[in-house]
Amino acid sequence: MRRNNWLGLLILIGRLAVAGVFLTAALPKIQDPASFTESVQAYQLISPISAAWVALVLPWMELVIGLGLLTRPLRRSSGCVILLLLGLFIALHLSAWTRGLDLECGCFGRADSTQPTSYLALILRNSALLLTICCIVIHDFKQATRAKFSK
Amino acid sequence: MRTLFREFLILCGLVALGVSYSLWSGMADAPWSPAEIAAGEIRQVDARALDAFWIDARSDEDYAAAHLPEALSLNPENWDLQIMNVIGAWLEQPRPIIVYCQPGECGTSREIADRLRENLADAEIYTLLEGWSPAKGGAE
Repeated sequence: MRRNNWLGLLILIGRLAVAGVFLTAALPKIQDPASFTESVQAYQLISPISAAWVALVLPWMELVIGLGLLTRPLRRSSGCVILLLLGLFIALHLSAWTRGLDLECGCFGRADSTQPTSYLALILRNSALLLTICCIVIHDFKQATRAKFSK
Repeated sequence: MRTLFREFLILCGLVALGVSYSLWSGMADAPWSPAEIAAGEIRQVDARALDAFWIDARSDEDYAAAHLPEALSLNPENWDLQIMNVIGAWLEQPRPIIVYCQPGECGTSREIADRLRENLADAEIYTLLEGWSPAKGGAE
């Protein structure tokens, strides 16, 4: 029982941390999509029109899944989308790093633009978040299965 | 499985609502609308019609890898070394100047264009909208 309490507390802290990161990342980008479009273009992977679409949709997606992770009816799907997005972000940073691009991360809008990009720090941060969200998703799916069979 | 699918649909609906709000409130420009041109900017299609004097505001490494034909390098890191070369070449044959940057990092070309305007008051100077990269073609 005590072990379950500790696990529940750890999952709650992890959930709050991941949701907090996604909400903090989403708000400045929703307010200033033009700057975020430039950041997306700097990765030199998609056309300017596609970058504008990404800059329009991605921040709202981050906001919705950040809130969804804290809401019982939406937390499994939000967890899955966060997991996929973090995997994608890590792949993008690795790709930019290997191509030697010197760009702004754009992760938190323009606020982080004064800092030089440290790809290693970005990848480590996203990997830590990925590990956390993996644990949360596994926990949520286990809990949903248990609830289904106990009915 | 069906509940999970329903959850995904709700997420998509909420994202669509948010995106609609951004477009409706004017917070974001519609991606399908042509990019707005600010003062001093020029589109690639209009730039091609000019017999322009091209300035590459990207780093020396990027310039060495590929650049537009006849473009001269001028970046903030080597301004003092390169500016005399640029002024000399422009004075030989005065033409409209177009400064281009790396897509997504056009702050550099705007900075170079502003500094050029201080040095060449008579020149017609533009920055290239959305920049240039080797992927866009026309490289030398």
